Amino acid sequence: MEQVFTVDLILKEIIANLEFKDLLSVSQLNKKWNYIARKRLYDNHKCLVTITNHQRLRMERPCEKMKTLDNLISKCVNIPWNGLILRIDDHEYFEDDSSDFHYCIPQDTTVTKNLYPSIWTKLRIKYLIVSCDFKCPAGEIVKQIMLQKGDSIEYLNIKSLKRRKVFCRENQIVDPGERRFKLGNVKILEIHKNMDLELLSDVLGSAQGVQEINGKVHSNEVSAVLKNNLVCKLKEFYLMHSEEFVRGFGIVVKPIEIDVCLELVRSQPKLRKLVGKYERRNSGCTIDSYCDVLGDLIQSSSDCLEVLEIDQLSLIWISSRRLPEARRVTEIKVGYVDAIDYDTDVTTMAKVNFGRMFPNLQTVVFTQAWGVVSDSNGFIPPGFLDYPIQNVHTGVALVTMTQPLKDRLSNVVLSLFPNAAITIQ
Amino acid sequence: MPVVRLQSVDGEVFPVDVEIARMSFAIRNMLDDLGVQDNDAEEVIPLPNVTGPILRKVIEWCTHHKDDPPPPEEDDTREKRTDDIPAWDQEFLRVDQAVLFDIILAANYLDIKGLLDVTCKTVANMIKGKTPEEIRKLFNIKNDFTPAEEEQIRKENEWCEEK
Repeated sequence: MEQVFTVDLILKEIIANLEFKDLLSVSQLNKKWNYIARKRLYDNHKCLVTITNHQRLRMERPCEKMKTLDNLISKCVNIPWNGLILRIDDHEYFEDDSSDFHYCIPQDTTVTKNLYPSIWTKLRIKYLIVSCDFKCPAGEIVKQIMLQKGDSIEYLNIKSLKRRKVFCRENQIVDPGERRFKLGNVKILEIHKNMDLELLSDVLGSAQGVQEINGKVHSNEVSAVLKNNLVCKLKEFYLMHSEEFVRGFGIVVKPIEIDVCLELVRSQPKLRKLVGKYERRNSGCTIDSYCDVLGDLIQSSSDCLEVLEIDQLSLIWISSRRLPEARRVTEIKVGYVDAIDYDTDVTTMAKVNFGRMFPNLQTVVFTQAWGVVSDSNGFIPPGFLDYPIQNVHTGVALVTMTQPLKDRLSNVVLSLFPNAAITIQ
Repeated sequence: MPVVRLQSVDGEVFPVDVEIARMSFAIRNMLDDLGVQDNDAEEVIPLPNVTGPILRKVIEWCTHHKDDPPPPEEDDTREKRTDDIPAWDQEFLRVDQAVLFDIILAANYLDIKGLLDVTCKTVANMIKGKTPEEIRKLFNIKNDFTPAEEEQIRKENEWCEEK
């Protein structure tokens, strides 16, 4: 044996230079390497274990897979994992429905911890990515961890936990006083659309140390953020105006919650990314009032906004207003609707003054937007079509567009952004 | 330029500029502890863990790097890179594995952070992309796992992913 590898400090220094895959390799060399490599993995990397019923593992039961993990952990000397991904597709999971997936491991809800004793006692999670409801025992153990052992969690990515209420009612082991999650050490929180609002509120309420909230915060979720005084932690916001399909009632138009959005605007968000998406005309909100809010959001966060994702119509609207420069915006993604240009017989992008609104823009991405307004004549702001062709923006270095948009936009892109490299996706 | 004399385990004595010798924190502490003055040129510092040939290499490295800025504060969380070894160092470290390891041991003993850093990076580069068996063979590392333990660790690794 080489003497050099018997000195811990040297071994640590060598191992500190290895990346994830090589750390796994050297952890198999011998006990000493294993100890130091695993410690490095745990302390300095994301080392995640995934439990899912996705794709190739489709027929696998997540609760059973969690049990396999538990058995593995029971014999594990140095645990490498500091994070857990639990992803159970809703549509694949019907506990009560005999026609389809998946029959959970039989268990008494009072002893989930006993079903996974090693996970419960030995796994210490820093990163938790959870996308499921809590009905399956695999979800239940994760919930128990969040409720009782969540102190170690620094990063939480949480999504679509829609049936929490149902489960909470059934679940007898949670003391009402203990409903509150222990998430005081969460620094980064990622949230997604369509979360159970009560759950979102609970998470936000207990994650008071959070430094950054990322992800798709939608207008209907803003109130939960506002209630917990976390607006200043919001890094991304999706202002979406769309319809919502409600089962049993057909299509129900959901007016944008202008009031809460305006309240958010008033709270001076420090947004890094803003997504504005106007999807369809409805009676609850006009494109005009929608763009008021969008414009206010851009304006109020113009000192920090870096990425703007916007549909073509909204971009036309805000460009027809006199917004101050959003100086930090370097990237814009435009959801492009061919129909607007066809209907008006104008290449509308040529009339958008990118240079005035976004002087430091570097990247523009045009993607095809679907399912959006087609009868555009009624939507274009008065006078817009008579605007002169706008000045060139020399700072843009890269324009990306999808193949179908190439014919329509190539010429205007070439003249608007003369210094840009163009890539077709 | 004031000089100290470093003596290797095999008795070879190397006169070295104090400023270069002080790049070793171990020597720096010895000099400070001994209260050696600049004019104590006859003072000999014995280095019982370093052979003459290795000490010569270490001094060569320190001499080449004497004007480097001090290495940054230790930050364990930073992303380490191994593709930034300067060309001179790469050439300097083009030596037998045994010599490389002796330089590492000397850099560790003498506490010369920059040298330890670059030599450990070199070893890490030798490890990258290799299978456990290849690494064991390369460095003559003894496997002290039982077959069952090895199987357990292999299984655990199968469950590990970065993202």
